[in-house]
Amino acid sequence: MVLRFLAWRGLQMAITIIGVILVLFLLVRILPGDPARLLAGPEASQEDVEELRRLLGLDRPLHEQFAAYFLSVLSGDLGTSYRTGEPVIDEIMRRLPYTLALAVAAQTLAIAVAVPLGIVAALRPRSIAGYAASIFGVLGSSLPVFWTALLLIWAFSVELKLLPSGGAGTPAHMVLPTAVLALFLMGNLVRITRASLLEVLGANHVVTAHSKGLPWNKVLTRHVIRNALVPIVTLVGVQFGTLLGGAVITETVFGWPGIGRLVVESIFVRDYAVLQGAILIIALFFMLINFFVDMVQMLIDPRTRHV
Amino acid sequence: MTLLDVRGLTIHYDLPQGTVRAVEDATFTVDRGEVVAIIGESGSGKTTLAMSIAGLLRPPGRVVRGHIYFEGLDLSRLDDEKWREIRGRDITVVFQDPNTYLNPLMNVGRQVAEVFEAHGMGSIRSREVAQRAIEILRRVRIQDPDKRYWSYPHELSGGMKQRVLIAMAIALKPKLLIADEPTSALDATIQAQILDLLEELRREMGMSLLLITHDLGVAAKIAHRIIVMYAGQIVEMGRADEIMSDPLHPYTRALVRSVKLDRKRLLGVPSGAPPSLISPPPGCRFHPRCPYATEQCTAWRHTLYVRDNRRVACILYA
Repeated sequence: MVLRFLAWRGLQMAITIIGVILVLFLLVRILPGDPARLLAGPEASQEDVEELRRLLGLDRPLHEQFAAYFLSVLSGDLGTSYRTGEPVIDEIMRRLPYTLALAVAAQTLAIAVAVPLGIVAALRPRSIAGYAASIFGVLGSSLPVFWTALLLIWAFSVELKLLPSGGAGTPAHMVLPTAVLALFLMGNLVRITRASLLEVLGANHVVTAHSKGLPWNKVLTRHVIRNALVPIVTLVGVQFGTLLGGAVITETVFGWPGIGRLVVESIFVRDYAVLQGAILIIALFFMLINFFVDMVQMLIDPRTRHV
Repeated sequence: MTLLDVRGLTIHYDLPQGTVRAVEDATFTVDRGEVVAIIGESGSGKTTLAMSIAGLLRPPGRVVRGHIYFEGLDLSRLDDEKWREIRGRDITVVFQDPNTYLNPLMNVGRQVAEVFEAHGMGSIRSREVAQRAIEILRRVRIQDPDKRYWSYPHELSGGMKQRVLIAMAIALKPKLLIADEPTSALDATIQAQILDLLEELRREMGMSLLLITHDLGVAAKIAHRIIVMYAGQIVEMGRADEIMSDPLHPYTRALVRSVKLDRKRLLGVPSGAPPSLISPPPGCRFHPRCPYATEQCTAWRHTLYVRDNRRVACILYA
């Protein structure tokens, strides 16, 4: 049964990835602007631009361009950057560790703070944690990321001079972007955790657990928290997938050399190859995370184990 | 020999809309080995009464007055830790809806095994506890109990799930089993099987059974005594055969007549819902629907009059 599930999901993912490649390819061609003209510079003559276009293969019919691109993607070649002349895959691989590090750090911090806070808030709504959860819930999801980023830079870099305001390299560089992203993630995470827990606390099977004479801590871990985990895991999956796509605004504010900024830079210079490659990698990550979330879901909830 | 002695029990729910007087001045006893049925419509307070006896009353519900003596111990004054020892061992509950009262994410065997663990007989991971759980599943006539042990609730039928709930409730040979509408979520054929099983287990184990039901037919089938509740108050109680052959209270009469004629609706009284328990009618709470109501009924104070073996709360018998 597990094998059948894996085969089915593998097929689904393969179809999705072909679709993603096609849509990406077309989308990028629809964008206004001429990469050959951009690359050649405003001084270049029309002949030079045409020559460049021919070299890049941009003069060939669309379906030929797609076939060539598709085959090279399958062989692991994402093309060459129009701008730097380097292989796209190298560029992405250079950026990926930064995005990964930031995503893992922010998501871990968010889970570590928001989930326990949400649990306590559900159990004791009138405690300090209960009020803290409400505050995090509202602030986290309503404060714009660029604003909290600037606020933290002002406080910790400008006034206190404790942390660098941008760039990457040392662990200190990670602190502010991690904090900004984590705060943003916490908003939803706290609210979902509390709501999910409250729902399970009111469920009938919890009354049964009490009626057995089970101690409260066991009722809580076995019959409440475990059951409340399902929507929390789903949300974490979505959040983490989004982070791996690059936190564009945060990366830009802090000058963090991640995937998000790579995408933005490529859009500005119409670097089709890099753009396609980066988004393809992001889509791939998203699928893998969804797959992983489904596996965890199946582990928690036996009702989802039937394909 | 009295096992359970409930005296003047009064339970309120404090809601923003007002105080719900769910149970008012309930007094009755249950003997060892006896089957007592509490019958009433939904909203009559019978489930609240049962949950308070099982120590499962949840806020905003609270015991305002009265006592619940169980083997002489006053349960209404017990702390959480003592309650925990009694629940699941001496007093157990079979709930109404087997579909929602089992944890969907845990296999049913472990849910039964938890009862042993909760009362200090080893971890649910231990082989002995699993073996005991399997024996209990066999006891409630679940086929292939060692295979069913690993099933999840969604893989079982409603009747099977109800058997699992019963297995939990009898695992430690309780003294009192409270069955709250144990059959109302099941098909008619399964209903009879579950009732037979409960009655058989009760006889084998010598436990007392407090059956909460809206179905007088079910009550008449297995109960020795019947307690009739209306709008939070006991209106009549006595031996089951006597109540069925000669109901005294006008409400009981309507109930008995509709059961005998196999009707769903109450016969002989105006249709309508039981009154709001936030602001119940003055005097007898049944008088707005009673065919025999007089002026006096609005000024009457709830009293149970003794008549032979019977108690009845109606001015006609004053």
